[in-house]
Amino acid sequence: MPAYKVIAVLAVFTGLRVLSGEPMPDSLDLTPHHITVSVADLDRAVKWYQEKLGLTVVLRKTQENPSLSIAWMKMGGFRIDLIQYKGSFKPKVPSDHLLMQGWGHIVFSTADVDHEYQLLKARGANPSGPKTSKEFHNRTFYVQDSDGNYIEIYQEDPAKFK
Amino acid sequence: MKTSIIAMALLVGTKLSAQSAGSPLKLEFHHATASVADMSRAIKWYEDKLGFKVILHKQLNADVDLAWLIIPGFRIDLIKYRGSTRPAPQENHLSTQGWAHIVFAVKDVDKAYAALKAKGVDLPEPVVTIDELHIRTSHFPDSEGNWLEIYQDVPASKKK
Repeated sequence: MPAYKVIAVLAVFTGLRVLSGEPMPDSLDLTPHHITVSVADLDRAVKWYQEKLGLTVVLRKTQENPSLSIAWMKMGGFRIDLIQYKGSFKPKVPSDHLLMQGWGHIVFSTADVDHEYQLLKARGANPSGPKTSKEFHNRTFYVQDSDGNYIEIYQEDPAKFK
Repeated sequence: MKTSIIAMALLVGTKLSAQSAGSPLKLEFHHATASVADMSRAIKWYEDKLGFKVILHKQLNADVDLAWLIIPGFRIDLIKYRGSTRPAPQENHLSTQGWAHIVFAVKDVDKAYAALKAKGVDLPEPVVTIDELHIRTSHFPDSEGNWLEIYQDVPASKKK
């Protein structure tokens, strides 16, 4: 077999392997489990996540060395951990939060973005108006938690937009 | 009469508790977005160290470069904003309020830790067991200083 054919066969084989989603041999097998946020006021944050997003507290505790209070908040199969860390501070957030490097926002998908928007508004949260992106085929809005952290709510299928 | 007062009190109680905790929104964790200093460096790190794959990479305009990276069931978006800056790193990253770290469950945290070490990941913390929470865990930063955690539930009887 000529060399170019061997190379072509190998290339197709490698491509199929990647496309099939077969884990590469050195894959770490990571499963997203929760996300942790450092907050200024744990009581206020727990209340916000309970009232606005409907999360429930599954664990709450306070410890020394390092001095912190923690609340595990559950939502379906996912968890958000809130931590009030002694001496923590909030950096000055620029007008566009992505101008500050770091984890900028976390994103949840939903089947009906407008419904969730109305629900949050009715609960006194401050969501920005949903926007449709033709480029990315999604409809999305931001809401800020009681500490000003950005959460994005996101719907992917444009056929279902109202 | 007494019964109806109790019934009313119960009704009011139910209504109040319904108001104080909203019904859950129907949300699924989809992805997390990080604003990074160096897009090429960050992409290379997530590919080489954690096995993510780029499914989209686009210069949206003169100021914004965006990449979507996936592992099965999850996505991380990296954004390079022209003029973005990072707050000064603290001794403990929890000292800076905001989204602090993203946590991945693994089957064997010690094996995962060893795999990361072999790939040359900067691992400032050892793997530790937190008895009270029944977890075994380690935190580490990506190439840009965004923190991640690998973690494993440890049944009380099988503590290391």
